[in-house]
Amino acid sequence: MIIAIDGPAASGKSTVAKALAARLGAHYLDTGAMYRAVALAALLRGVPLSAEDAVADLARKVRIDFVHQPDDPIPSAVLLDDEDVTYAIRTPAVDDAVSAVARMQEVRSAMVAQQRAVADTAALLVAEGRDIGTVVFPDAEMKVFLTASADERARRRHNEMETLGHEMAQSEVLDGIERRDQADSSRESAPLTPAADADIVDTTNLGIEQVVDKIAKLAEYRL
Amino acid sequence: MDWDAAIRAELKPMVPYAPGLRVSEVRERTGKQTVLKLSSNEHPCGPFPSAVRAMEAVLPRLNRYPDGSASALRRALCERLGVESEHLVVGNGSNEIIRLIAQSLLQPGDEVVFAWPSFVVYPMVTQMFGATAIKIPLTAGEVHDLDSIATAIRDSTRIVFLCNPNNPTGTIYERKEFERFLDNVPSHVLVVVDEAYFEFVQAEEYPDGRTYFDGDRAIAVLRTFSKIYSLAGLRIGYGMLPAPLAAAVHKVREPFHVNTVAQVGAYYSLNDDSEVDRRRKENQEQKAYLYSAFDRLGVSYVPSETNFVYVKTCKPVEVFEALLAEGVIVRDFGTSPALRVGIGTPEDTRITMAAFESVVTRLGSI
Repeated sequence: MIIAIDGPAASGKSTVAKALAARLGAHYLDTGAMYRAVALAALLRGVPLSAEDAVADLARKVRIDFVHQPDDPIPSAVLLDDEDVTYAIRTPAVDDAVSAVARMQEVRSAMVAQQRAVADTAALLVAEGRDIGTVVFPDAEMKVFLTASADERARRRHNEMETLGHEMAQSEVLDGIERRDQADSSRESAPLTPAADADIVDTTNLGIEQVVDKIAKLAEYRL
Repeated sequence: MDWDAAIRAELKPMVPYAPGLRVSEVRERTGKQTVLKLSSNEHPCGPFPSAVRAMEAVLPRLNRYPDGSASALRRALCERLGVESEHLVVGNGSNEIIRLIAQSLLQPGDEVVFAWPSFVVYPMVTQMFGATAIKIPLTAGEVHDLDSIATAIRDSTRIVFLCNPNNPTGTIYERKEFERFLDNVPSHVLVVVDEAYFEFVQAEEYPDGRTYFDGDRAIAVLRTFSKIYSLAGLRIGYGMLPAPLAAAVHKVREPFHVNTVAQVGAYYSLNDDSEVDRRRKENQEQKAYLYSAFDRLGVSYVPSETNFVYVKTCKPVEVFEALLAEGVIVRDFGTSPALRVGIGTPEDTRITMAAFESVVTRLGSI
């Protein structure tokens, strides 16, 4: 069974999905990490992001694995062709590259195939990511679309970056978020829209636990 | 013999180092008599004259083994650097010291963090001893992302390799970033600062690794005679290491790992600092000429603190071949959208500029 969580940048998708997976004893599928792994592979192997065919080729060839500790829904490591890239995929260089990679139709197709394969191996899977409920798992048992105001999302992303030790002004972060919203909703391939059958949850004034409570309650009815 | 089972499993995925094309190969391939090799960041001139004289003088005595502890050279280096001899290690190229450090510290399960792209030997020594490489991409400006490198460190991390200036991009990280980085590095991690191109650097904000080496901190600083001193063919480099690490390195190294000619050549290269200054300035001048040609031709490049320039191109294979046809060997990185071009003499610069001009004319924008 699959719970698909979708939403714009920094709407809390990954935080909420992880907490929800822990609450429900599910496996957590980080699709964003998979695109990041492809972007990283391109950077490390020197495949120019302008060469769409070459990047797509890479997306089909690389093997992305998630390492799970026993009983832990959250993967403890991300492997790219057996190399540990858990940290490398969270670097600013990958932040800059990932949007371009995720826009490529052929890369998305390659990733969708891999994501579905992962889903087949889990009893209950919480998946998050752009267009997860519309394109990747259109038949998911439950779909959630998270939203939050751009200001609130900029605040969250800024906090996250500070924790990781990257210094950046909040206004700069807000600019980035607004640019990404624009890019995400206007892209041709799988633009950012809630699935028709998704529950829309506004998280602007809610804490993580409250959001998880809300979704878990909805899940009681849906699953 | 079942070789598949006999050879250590770690070696299976490794690929041997592939050097660039040799001048004779290119002569044969292109029919060109004048071939310029700008692919290995070598110095275009020969070794210092006093070093050549001293090396010639020692040849009749090569029936004897070298001084196994390279005492004269190490003493001279210690004096110059202001470090104790227990910290000073010489090697068959700084490349050997990189391996000896890895051999002293790494076990299967350990992790090694470094930027990528960077010196190809870091992943090789990591794999060789069964450790895991954590590669952190350079920033969009091709500079070390020290914050992310610090974040990637965990309990299993043993070594961080920092190539400053970085090969192949020629970029440096600055003093402020490096100091913040050092503050964040836990004490179980050795920071290896590889300064092979140290003598070419002109930037004010460059953190000279020596000033951070106090014997206590877990930091090693490596330099070489292969670059500005023109002794690449001899294989000799040196390192400042914490004393316990230096002691371990002396255990794993070969008894006579640095040959006599190399010791003498390096020793007699150390007394001509004015030649080092002259070479640095000339390198800077030639680099500026090359930049201006690149600007004029619309060739995109990364400003460099070394004796090579990282040229960005979306047609690396075509440009590499076209330059080869002009008799200029540069370093390619497979399909990576970049080529590394060495700086040479004024005459070399003239040839390089003409070659790029003709390539741009032929291929359109590169």
